Amino acid sequence: MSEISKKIELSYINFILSHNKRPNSVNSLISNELEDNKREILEEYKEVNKIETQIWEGGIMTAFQHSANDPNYAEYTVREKLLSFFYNYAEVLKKEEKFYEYSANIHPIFELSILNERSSVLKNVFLNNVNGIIKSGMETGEVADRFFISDYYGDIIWYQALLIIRYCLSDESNEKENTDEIIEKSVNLIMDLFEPNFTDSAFLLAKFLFQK
Amino acid sequence: MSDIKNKVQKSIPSTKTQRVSKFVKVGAKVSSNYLKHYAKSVIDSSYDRKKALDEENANDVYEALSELKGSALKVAQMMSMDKNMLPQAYTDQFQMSQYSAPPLSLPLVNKTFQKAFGKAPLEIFDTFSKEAVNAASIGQVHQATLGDKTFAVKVQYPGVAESVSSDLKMVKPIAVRMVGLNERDVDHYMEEVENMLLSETDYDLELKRSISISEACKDISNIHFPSYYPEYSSKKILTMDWLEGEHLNEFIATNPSQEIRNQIGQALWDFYDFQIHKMKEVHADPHPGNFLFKENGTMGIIDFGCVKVIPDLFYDNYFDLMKIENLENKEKRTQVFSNMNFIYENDSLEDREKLDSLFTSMITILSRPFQHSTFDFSDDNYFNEIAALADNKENQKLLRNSKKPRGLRDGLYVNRTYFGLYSILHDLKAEISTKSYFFD
Repeated sequence: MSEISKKIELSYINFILSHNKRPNSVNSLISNELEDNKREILEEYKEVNKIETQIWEGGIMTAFQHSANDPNYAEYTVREKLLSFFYNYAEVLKKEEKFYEYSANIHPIFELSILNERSSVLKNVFLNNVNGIIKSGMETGEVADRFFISDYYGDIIWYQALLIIRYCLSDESNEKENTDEIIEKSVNLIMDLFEPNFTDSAFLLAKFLFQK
Repeated sequence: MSDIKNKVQKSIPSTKTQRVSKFVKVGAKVSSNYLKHYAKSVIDSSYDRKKALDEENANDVYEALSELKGSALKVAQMMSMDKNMLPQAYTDQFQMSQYSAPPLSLPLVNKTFQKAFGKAPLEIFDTFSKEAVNAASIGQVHQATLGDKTFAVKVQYPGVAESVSSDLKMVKPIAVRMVGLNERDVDHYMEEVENMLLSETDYDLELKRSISISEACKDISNIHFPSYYPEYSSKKILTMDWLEGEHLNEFIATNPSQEIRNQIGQALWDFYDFQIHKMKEVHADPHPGNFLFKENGTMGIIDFGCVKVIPDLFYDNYFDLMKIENLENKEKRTQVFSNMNFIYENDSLEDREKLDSLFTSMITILSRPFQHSTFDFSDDNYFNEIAALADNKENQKLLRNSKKPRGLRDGLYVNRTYFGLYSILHDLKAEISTKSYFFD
């Protein structure tokens, strides 16, 4: 199926680029080449929206895979793993920039439920990967394990990702160099917060004073 | 190689506001240092306020500049060349900036490689150092190996080209204050600096120049150049052979013999003389970080990012007065001073005379090495003489009060080159033959 789904995704992207609107039905995406698999496709994609979600999902997965393929990945710290993911993701966005720009910015108002659904699917994919990275950081002590708060680390990085996507799609600097810089800076900020820092000592002190 | 492991930098301030606030912070620190030291000197009369103060200020300024990287660091390097312009303490700190600035993260380096070659560094080389082994002013250097070869791979910081202009705007008021230059002069020269800095961010150009200059200079004895590898180079990456050798200060600390010092000094002189008078384009970045000295009296030369092409018209005027008979000929001298924008037609008669004698004595002193067949650069008296001329309050007042820039801007980098050359030769305490192609 993966061969076919790649083709249908490509066909979806091309449709948006050439018509500057979303296709109304899956039927309009089936080119002569895909005619043989028509039944299969219609079964798989009952809704045309699913294709768009799948493209986003694939993009995130690709970025995680590419960063894991980095020969240095095994020895990377959490900070570097996140940097590596975001750099790769920026490349994914750049490659299909027009599509992502359209998809991220143009939604008819009555499609909000679709958007919510898409965002929760993507968030799940994202967290599945990021939580693993964070957990490994907690084991090595790079990331502070904090009562209640550490459950939300993944969510914080998810919002960071949304910010970076927005920034990247509207970045007009040469080769999107500004995106590289915002990635470097925002990851550093977040990691400075996640790492054991003065708030942990302050918490321990407060706890001590309270107990005694 | 300097150890920069414990200085891994987490961020480079890159937006204009961030950068400005950096400078503001330095300003505040410098003034609080003044207060502190003033107070100390009131309490303790033996306390050497001036020196301690300079040292502390230099530390703060260096800290801020090294975080800014890019062009600000470059300006720090330029200022560190001018030993006479800055108190010694500033100079020592800035000399540090020539060797080390905090590095960028490995994922970003890997990404730059992916972009340029579609491969990670480790897919091209057998080994690739995880951390930068050295910082160049607008990039950092990693060590890589492939087979039995060792490479130096220079990777440029992102956004450097974009930040050149805005950095210079911010450095300007500092330069005006610290170096005590006239603001008009600074404007006049800033454009030249900007162009040179922009050309330094173009590694394609640097690659071309490195290859052509090292080819042209290959017959000069006792110097060598790395080979360059276009196949592993791009707009942001420059790969060359790894050269062994020590930086100037380390080299001098090993107490090389006078013979070795003279031999290296001679090679340096020949290298510059050939470029200026034969090629008319010169490696205009003679700061000690670009030379790697070896025990046997040879020297490797790297970094052709900053190459000044000397225009013919400027060349003719600039060197005309090196011939004593021209300098002593009043008519000829006046003509050249006017061509060089040293003296303007509408300067008052009194000023013209003062300026004439100032520039004449300046040229007499600076061209002295050329007037002898050998010259001993270890001679402190010679350098004190230069310093005295620059420190002379009356001369400074004369130049500062004049409403016009004095000197063509092409002179900026040529002067800097000679100044750097003299200063390295002085540090080497070399006595050399100062034969020049100019007199051939």
